[in-house]
Amino acid sequence: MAASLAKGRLGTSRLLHFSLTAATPLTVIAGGVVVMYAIAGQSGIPIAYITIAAILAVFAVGYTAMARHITNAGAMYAFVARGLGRPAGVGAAWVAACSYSALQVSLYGLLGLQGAALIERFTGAVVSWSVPALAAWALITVLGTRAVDLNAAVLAVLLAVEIAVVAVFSVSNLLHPAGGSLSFGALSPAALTGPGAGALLALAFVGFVGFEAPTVYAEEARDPRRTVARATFATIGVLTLIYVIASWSMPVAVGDDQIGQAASADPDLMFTLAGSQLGAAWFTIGQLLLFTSVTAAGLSFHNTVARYLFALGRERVLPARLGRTSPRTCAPAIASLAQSGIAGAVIVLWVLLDLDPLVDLFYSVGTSAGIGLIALVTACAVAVLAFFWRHRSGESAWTARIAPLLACAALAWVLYLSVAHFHTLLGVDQDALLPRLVPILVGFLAAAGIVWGLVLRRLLPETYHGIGHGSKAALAPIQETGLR
Amino acid sequence: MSSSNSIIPSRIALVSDAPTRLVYDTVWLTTVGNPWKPVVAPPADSLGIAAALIAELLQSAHATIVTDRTGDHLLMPLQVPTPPTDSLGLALIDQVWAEPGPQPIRQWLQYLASDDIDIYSRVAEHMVIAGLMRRHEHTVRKRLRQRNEVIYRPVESLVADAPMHRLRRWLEQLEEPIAASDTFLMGLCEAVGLETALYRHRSDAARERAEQHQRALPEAQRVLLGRLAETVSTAATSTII
Repeated sequence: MAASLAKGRLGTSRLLHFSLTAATPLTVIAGGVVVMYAIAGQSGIPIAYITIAAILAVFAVGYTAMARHITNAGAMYAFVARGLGRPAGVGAAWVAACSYSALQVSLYGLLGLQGAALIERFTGAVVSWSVPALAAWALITVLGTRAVDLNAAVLAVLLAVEIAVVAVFSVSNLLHPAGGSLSFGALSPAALTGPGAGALLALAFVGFVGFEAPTVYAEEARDPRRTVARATFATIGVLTLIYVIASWSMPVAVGDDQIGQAASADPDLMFTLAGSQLGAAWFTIGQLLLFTSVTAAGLSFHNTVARYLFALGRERVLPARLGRTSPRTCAPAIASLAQSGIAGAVIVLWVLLDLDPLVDLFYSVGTSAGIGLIALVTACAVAVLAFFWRHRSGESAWTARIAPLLACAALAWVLYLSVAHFHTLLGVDQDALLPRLVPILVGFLAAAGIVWGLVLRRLLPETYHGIGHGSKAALAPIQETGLR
Repeated sequence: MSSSNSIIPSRIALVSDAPTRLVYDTVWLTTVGNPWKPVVAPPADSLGIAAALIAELLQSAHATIVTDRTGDHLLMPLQVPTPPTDSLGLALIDQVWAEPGPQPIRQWLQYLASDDIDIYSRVAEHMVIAGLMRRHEHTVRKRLRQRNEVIYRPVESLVADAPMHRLRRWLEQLEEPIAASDTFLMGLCEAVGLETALYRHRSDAARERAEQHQRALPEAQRVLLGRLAETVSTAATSTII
């Protein structure tokens, strides 16, 4: 039996594929990096990526080690529940579900604009951003409730194509340097200074969302002790390589002094450079692939949110209906439809209020979600430290003590900088409402979740015992008593 | 008119005389659809059939479930004087004995539901011999190739629909106790995604009653249902990105 089951186990390469598709590199490069250069007006983006990668690598030491000791790895909130207690786990779950949901919804702003630009380029027709956004929403709604293999196949093709195009564009930039010689100014640590540093770190962090995916599949890994850790570190390594080279190549091609101005003037800078260096067709190819890449990112985050809602429904922390599978597709259809409902309502609301899809939806909502996710990973780092403080479980001092401690300190520093410089990220005054409102909202969600966890402990002890167990929640009351 | 009237009693007799067992009922519930109950998609259907086969071993005391030091639940065979009376149970208990030690329930479910085993065809063939199913072979064209495909259809559709009707009738009759095997089947329906079909137009009291009965099931069967729900939800979320 063991030999037969081993054939279906996940190896490092498949786990790496899962996490890379969740990260969608072209969206980060063409959608995020150009924005970062425009906002920060400085060339320290590659250093921001290196800094965040180093911090996440240290965090991953304890994080992947904890996944070896928790039979249901689940998601980050499960780690928080085990490390800091079930009420804190509910707080983390609420922050996670809302942040991932907001991040997914924000992508429809970029999707809509890219889609409208493509329609105009190919047909000459001028359409509202909401038309392609709603078309993409309908596609994601259908794929999200379908059999899962289809999603994996679609995402695999898109990932391969987008990595190839990022590589082609980056190499082209490096072969056409401004002034005729390669500049390494963007790789200097001094480039990451000033009030924009926190904003850059926050945006760089969002680019790595998806690195945590391998732990979710720990129970299906070929060798849970090694495969998950290898895949997690490989994800961080591959993403760092892609992001650093691609983000460095842009100031090389434009010039370190010119990059901020060029990015502000042209949101499609990456494709404009490719068009001028490789031929006009590459501009269109880039735009087309960015549209499919953002669609893939939307689908990926949609499934992440559906998985969170499904797990919380299984645990009955949220309505149990969300935890049901569809008998027709064996997919978490109701959780998936719930996220589609939220996204559809936001798109309609943005249209009715005539809000800007790029600034008000993609930038503001997306970066606000980034703050929530940094807070979530920071809480998870504290939970890892607390877990190993209680049970060292045969792990080395580096794994159980030093790395988690360093990760806590570094992530707390990133969180502090991100919140302190959040106004820069949004491009508003320090006294404006939104930069203050978002951290308060994240804190409120966490506090409300903790209170709800305490209510469950008092009123529904069976449900309370299932918190953090995900799909095993139904077994929690049985495991409390135990069989013979 | 008179001829159809004479047919109905004979069809009812077919339903009441049909052999029932947990695994047959599970096949009817998960693989034969009707306008009110969808066919359950793979792998939830195979996982449900696998759980029903294991439950039969538990009920006949040929196996039990034990907890190891890590809290995992293992399927352990028991020494009894008489082996299972049918080939399905016999084949499974032989496999359980052939393992070097007790293996986790979850692994047994995944193994029995894997494509290599094709548990549905095994049980369906058994039901053909029992006179409950008909075997049909037909040629289909897939990817430019012609191949023979075997499908199984119920001999009598009323027999196939009977388990869901029976479970739903239990939920209506609040005074009568629910049979233990049907309580297990209700839990199985919930685990594989048939909750909506089971509880449609039924009151909250009926649902509470079903939950109460499920809590009163022997602990081994509750564990089996919990592991089935866990495995189905893992299958639902693990392969999506």
